[in-house]
Amino acid sequence: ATPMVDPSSDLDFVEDAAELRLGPEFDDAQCMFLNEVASFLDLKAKDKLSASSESRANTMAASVIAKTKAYCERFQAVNSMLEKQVGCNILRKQLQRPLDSGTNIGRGLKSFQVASLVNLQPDNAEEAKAIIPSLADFDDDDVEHFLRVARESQGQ
Amino acid sequence: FFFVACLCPRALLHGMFVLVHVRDTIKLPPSCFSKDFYDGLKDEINGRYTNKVLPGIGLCVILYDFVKVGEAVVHFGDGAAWVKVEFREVVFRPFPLETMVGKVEKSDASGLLLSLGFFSEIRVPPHLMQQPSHYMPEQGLWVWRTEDEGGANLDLYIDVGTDVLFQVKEVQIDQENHHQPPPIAVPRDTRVPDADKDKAKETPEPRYPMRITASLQGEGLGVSAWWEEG
Repeated sequence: ATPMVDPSSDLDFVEDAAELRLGPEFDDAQCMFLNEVASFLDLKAKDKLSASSESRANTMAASVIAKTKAYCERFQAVNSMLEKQVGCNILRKQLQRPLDSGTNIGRGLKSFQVASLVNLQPDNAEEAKAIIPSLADFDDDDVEHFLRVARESQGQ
Repeated sequence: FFFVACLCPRALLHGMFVLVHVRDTIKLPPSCFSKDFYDGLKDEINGRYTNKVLPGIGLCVILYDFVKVGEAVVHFGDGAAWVKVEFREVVFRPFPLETMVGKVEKSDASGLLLSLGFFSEIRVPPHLMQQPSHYMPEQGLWVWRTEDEGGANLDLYIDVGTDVLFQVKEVQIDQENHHQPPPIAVPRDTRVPDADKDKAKETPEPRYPMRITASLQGEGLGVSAWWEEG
């Protein structure tokens, strides 16, 4: 793996969510929906409680997991479609599908953009571009298309 | 008095959780042999990674799933089983320009310390407060001096314990080795002891390996009550 430039020094590589410069480690990393994180942690919290292990590691892990879960639950969309992992996977696949028409034909959303759209739920293209700056490259029509896909998939 | 039109009013403000591939060799002590193998492995991984910062990557939360699990090799001498694993870890990793909500944990002359509950190294320095802001040493609070609709002075305080909307300005995550590829899966506390001693000489105060600089500047940022119509 190529080492990422130390972000704490004033060097060339600057991360910027606006331009999707997230660092080489995140090129193929999957960005999660908050619902996914909350559901997953909910599952795991039940896991820990039923396991008979009383290791110190488990106690600390349980505390961090509980706090992270609490954080995600504040912000997750109330959305039954996304309660199951299957729904999340389908939505993710649909949103990453390359556009089949328009000036940006063949281009698709990156994982970071997909998660941002689903987590932030902008009402329209203008709002979407304001809160997810890296969408600037897409036409408003393209962004409306993505928003429609997201809404339909969530049964709205 | 102010009303934010540009920020999505229902915006679900958050930081990014990412699935990261990790490769490691996990030591399963004999005491784990009675457990189910994968449970034991999972517990050891979580014990090692949860709440630790992966160099250059982010804060580990929990094991998501196994990608590859090798055979357990028992070494002479310690009786433990060593297992090569590849897994995906849920990692908390915010990026610049993300907007999030945090609670004010500390307020002093150097600025604010914000917390998300599971992560608390978020600092708002004085120059990234709403301008103009100043520090009131008697109360230990920061106050933004602005104007109300009538043009009169309006002092808006930031109390400890309040929730504030902030924008990520910078994320600093320590790298272990600047001259070699970073280890693929070495949580911070498994560093070689010598490196620790050297670092201790240079920086007597250990810093948390992941630090966020946050900004309260901009419409809609700061205490949300400031921006509600009324």
